[in-house]
Amino acid sequence: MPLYTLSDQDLIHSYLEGHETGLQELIKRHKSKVYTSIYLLVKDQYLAEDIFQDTFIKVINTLRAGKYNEEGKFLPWVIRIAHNLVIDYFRKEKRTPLIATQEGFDIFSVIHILDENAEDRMIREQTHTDIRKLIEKLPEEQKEVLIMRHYGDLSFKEIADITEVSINTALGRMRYALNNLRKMMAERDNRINAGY
Amino acid sequence: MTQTFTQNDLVRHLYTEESKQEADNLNSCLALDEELKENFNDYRFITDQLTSSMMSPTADTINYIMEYSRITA
Repeated sequence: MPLYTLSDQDLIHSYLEGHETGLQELIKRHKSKVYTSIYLLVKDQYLAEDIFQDTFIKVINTLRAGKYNEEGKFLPWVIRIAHNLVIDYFRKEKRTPLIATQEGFDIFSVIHILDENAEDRMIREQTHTDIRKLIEKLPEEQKEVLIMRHYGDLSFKEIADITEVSINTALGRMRYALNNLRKMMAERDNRINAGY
Repeated sequence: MTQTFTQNDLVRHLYTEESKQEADNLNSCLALDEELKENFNDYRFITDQLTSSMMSPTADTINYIMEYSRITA
């Protein structure tokens, strides 16, 4: 049976039975969301790589120790670990974390580009860099909800519980985040068209 | 009776956090309400951008993790 058809829980069981491919598939499946979540917090690719590594080492150790709660979802659990490691890093560096939440949350499919020429690739990469920069400009509580929902796969109910607000407030923050991103993208496009 | 939907409902719809009935009702409404549809399409465009702008760690990082798993097994 192809690995991609197995659930996260099945892959974990497979890994704990000694099949490294289970872990490999879990990483492959979730690496982009986890890495992007970390990067949006630390804004440094090398640091994000280190924290990503440490995150999965902790995942491996916890799974092997039998301490993973099977009732929880895998991706939010991993992102919680990642977020706690980010906070630990900032504490050590005596810096304020970009996002402070009560529980550890924050957070991040690759587009396959066929026949892309160099100019198209530059434009695509610039667009992706731009949207990440725009996310960084969002108010913290909006950025927090956006990262938790879009990259962390948490429901709005879960986000509301963690951040101790109502579901409507969590939804509203996400809506404001999307509206602000829309506005910033329109302003950026106007600047580009005006030749700035 | 015509059901009205809020902007928050659009956000829930974006992430499919609603019942099938609610989803069907909202889809019917989107088909008839141009302004609502435009708002929803804008949100969809942005979330598509969020998805497409995701980054990945390097192969070296992943290899390190797998090597750790192997040598500590």
